[in-house]
Amino acid sequence: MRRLAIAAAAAIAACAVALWILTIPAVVPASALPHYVPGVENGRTMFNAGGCASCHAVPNEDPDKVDRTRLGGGLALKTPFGTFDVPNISPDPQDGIGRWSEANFVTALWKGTAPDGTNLYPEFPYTSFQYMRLDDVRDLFAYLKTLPPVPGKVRGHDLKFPFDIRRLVGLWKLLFLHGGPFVPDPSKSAQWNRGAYLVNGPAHCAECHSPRNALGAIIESERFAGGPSPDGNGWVPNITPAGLSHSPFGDFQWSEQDMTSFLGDDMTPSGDFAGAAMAEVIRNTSLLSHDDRAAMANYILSLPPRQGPAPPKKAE
Amino acid sequence: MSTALGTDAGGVVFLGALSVNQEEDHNMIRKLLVVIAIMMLGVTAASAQSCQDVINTRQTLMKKSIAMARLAASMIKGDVPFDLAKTKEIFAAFANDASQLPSLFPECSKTGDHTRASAAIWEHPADFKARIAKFAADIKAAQDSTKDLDTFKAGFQSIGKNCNSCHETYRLAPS
Repeated sequence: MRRLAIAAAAAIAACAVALWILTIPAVVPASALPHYVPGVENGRTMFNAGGCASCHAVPNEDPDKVDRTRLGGGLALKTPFGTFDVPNISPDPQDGIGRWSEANFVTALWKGTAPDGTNLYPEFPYTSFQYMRLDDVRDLFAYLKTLPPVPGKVRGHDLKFPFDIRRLVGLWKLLFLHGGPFVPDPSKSAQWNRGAYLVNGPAHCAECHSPRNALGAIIESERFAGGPSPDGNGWVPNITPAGLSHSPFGDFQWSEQDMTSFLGDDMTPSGDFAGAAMAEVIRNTSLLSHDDRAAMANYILSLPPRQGPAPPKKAE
Repeated sequence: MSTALGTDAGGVVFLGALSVNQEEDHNMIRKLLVVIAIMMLGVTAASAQSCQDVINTRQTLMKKSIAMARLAASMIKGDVPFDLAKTKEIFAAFANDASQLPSLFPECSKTGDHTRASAAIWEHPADFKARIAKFAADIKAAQDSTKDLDTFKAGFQSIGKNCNSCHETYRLAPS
């Protein structure tokens, strides 16, 4: 009996050590970054594609009054795991990322690891940003450093047990973070590849437009097939061709021109304006070039048709 | 109803008659109460009816507007030829929206079949009213300035921003 107890204790200890080792947060060291002169203009494009301001800018009840250059954080994001308090990513040296190195920033976006070596929660969608090219990430960092420093630390997350144990995010990453930078498809056009890169990388469309499992990870087989809105309000549509032809706006086809202009002004081919959460997305995509929006449209309309979960039946 | 006849016939009959009247009074009061109750039910049903009507009216209005917006977009894209007379029709439809919208969101219409009106409308009535006023102003400005395709495009874009902005805050996401 005593031997059994010792054996059990040893097994548990071994598991804990293994877990500890397996969940060591990955880091990109500075030595991995070759010499590079960043491009701030491309950084701005990445900032707009990424929609960083939509989460990180200091919130205002009137979304038109948000100053998109003041990234002091503070927006509260309610999820099934608790409420996340979006951090300050202004170049403030005390309360923002003013003292971060380039390698710190690349590590955050690619590996979901903070400069102090702890895990970042995947509420920050590094599951998408992991696809971003190194140069684009470095350009984005350079652009962020041109924005005004905003003093003020945010409150901090308010999460339910055991999601408040950051180390456990390491397990989540083991299971769900294994992409790596975007690999172009040589059989497709340059435009398609640009669209695929923007949509899956900085624009992180799948993070809202896909259903998630119980651990909050995207169900890959239903990527882009719609699901409950992460902010708890309503349903995010299926944007594969199966969904677009029976969208909430009606049963009609979307052309590439329709989708390109939609990404510019939120107007659907039916003459409606999508509004709700999509209006905030369009605030960012409307700042992209026509070519970039057309590339995104080209890619989205090429998605394989997928059925996602059905929205809950409305009471008649 | 009791009729008692006895030796003191007059008195008893009188008493009998009194109780008959009381019962009749009770009956009458009962009948009156029933009638009032039915009337109140009718009134409530009628106003419930009109609340759903209001929801239907505003949805019909919006459907007309998206048809107009679609027409405007097809002119701007060049799918149909630019027609100044049609632009006047389009702006008139939007102006009709702007004039009717303030009266189409009574308290009782917060819930009802298929309504996507967000509770925010009733939480921020001043802002909602202000946005409708801005919508009306932008329509008027577009009406005054539209004389060709380019000015029409600019005017329609400024109107569209109002559609979008209201739908962002005051219309629920699809569910």
